[in-house]
Amino acid sequence: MDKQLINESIIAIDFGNSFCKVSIRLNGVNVASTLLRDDSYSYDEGNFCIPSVFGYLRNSNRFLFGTDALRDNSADLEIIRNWKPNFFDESDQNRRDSLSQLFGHREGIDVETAAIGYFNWLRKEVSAICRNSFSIDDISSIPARITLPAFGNVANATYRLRELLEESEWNVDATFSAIHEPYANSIGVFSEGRSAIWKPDIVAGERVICEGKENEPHFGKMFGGSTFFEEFRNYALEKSDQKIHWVFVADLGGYTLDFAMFGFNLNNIQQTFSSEVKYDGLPAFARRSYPLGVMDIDELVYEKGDAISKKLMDKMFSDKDQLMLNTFHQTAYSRSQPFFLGAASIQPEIVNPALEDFLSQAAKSLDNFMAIHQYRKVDQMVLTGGGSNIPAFRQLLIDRLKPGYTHGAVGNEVIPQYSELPHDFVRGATALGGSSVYFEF
Amino acid sequence: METREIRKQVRRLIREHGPMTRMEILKGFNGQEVGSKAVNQTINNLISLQILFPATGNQVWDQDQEEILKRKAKNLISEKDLSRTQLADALLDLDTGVSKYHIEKNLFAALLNEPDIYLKYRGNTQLLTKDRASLEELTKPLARSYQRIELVLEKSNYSKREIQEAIVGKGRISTLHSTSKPNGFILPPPEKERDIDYQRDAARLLVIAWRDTENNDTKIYLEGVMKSLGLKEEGNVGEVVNFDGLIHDCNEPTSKDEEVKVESSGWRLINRRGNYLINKATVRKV
Repeated sequence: MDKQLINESIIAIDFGNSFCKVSIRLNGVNVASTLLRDDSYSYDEGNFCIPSVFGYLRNSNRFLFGTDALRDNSADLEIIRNWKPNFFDESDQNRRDSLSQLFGHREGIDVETAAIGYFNWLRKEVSAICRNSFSIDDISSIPARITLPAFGNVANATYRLRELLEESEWNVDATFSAIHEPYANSIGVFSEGRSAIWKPDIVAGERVICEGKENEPHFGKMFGGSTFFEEFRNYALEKSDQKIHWVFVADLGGYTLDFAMFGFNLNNIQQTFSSEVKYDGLPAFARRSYPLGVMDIDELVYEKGDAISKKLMDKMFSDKDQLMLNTFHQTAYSRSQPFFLGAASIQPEIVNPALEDFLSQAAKSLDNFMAIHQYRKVDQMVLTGGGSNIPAFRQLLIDRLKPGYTHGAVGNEVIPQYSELPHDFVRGATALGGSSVYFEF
Repeated sequence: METREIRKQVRRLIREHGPMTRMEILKGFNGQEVGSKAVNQTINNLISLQILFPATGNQVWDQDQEEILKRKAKNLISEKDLSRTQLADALLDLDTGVSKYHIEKNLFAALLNEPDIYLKYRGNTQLLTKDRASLEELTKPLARSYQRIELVLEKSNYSKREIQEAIVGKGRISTLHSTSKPNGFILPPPEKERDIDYQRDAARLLVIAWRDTENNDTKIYLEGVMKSLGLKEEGNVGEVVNFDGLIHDCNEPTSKDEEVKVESSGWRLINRRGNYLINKATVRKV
């Protein structure tokens, strides 16, 4: 372990399909990370979701990025969403062809070039927020890193995204330019965004606690009374003979279901993960993505629905801002209540069988993941993504994996050994974790 | 030479030299094997990506000249109020190459769209100022006119509503002064995460119902409930504003900053998580 602290400040970008979330740890190592917010990001709660979209104005041959693209509604404007998977496609040709419809007529413009424009825009956006919120005129001295999903060709994507960030004039962190999303997410959840090293802040005026350890992370302060840290303490105090703490992360999004498992070696809290490292023959890190998401539940509800509910769902799908669809998900899936629109409604009698079908598919995926990697035990589980709000899905994972402890979104039901994550952590833990000092050593 | 290398070289040259013409950039490649077409293509792409910006004198630069002027202007206005001529004189000193006409006409208008810059009058001269004038100051001429005809209006037996409508335009009065009020009481703001979730979900359901109903009385009644729950109206119906797709929804294609009229208000939920615009204001082109 390199005990030299690398960065006093760092920016972490959680590069998401729909939104980027950006966190900053500023001027210190004993400080909490902060999600960057702006009032203009009011299309979502919390005001920290920066749209990962870009637009192309055909007539004026101009690109618009992020909020600039959403502010416009010109006839010749094409909005391009979901371009992130292009970086994780194994086939270079597919990636280049995927946007050919748009870029076909423009020599020299492909998704990478557009990505440079996007990250360049994002840098300016982040600069402006830093200027307004923290009076920082120049972020070029602050290193940045990006979190990436744990699927697809990550090594290739890491390399390419690093190059793109550099070309967009981000000061890319030399040591950890990219971190797996579930890894950053777990650290964000366990530390609740706190960072701490043994060396005290000068301002705080504390005395040095342990000579010679000044530049090491202070896990006690960072992870507090979390069950995660408790396991390390128990092992150190010989209250437990379990050497590995297995953390399972499930992320149910709109289109994909991602599973990841990390084996934290209780002998060494500070480690990087690799599938090459094995504990009792099990990989220290494994991940897999399944093509199953909340949208599949919608399709199942549609299939099983009567004419009235089909009509209602058609109306929801054609709703431009997806307000109705989001509300339906929350009402019918998360709260198990009937969803009314005027006199028409979708009742639990239609939703529940669809949910059951979905859950049996999710169970198959889960069994597949556990069987492939031969994992037998889950000590802790972290649930993220919009789908983690669905009680039946949550319960399925708890019933099958029997984790010692679970972290997830606020629910209506009482679950033993369950920690409810505040909204900022449900959505922003990956970015917060990415800027932790945990990744500085 | 690969496109990526050309791109890097172009940006390096501009970073080192400041604004450059395309010819100067091409010369900067110093006999390296690269065609003018490829360099021009790269410059065009960088401009369309807004990494480079056109600058005066057929140059390109990695800074947006317009933004620099705007920033400088805002600094000047934060120190003292400025007329068009004063603004132009001060900015021409920057020697960016832009014309006096451009500053007086286009930049002056652009500055008026900035949220923290206001317009005020000194005699007949328009001044840009950082301080919003008081309501009294802004309505002084109107108040004077009203005093002159107050007695006539009182004697005329017209209702207040008719008089107000005659002043602001027919059909706008009920929306300018929405008749909906919070129903009974305003609920205390939620503190716990689950209560905030509940408030959000209830607010969304109400907004959907409000959007869906065509009955005006029902709408007004729902508005009261929505306000009780903590929702705030966004945008004044009838008001002409510049289109902003982040807060406006328009069925017709509309460019940013194009003039549009607010047809129905949007709804914003403000709580300790932040401000969440549940429903954009519906607008149509003027």
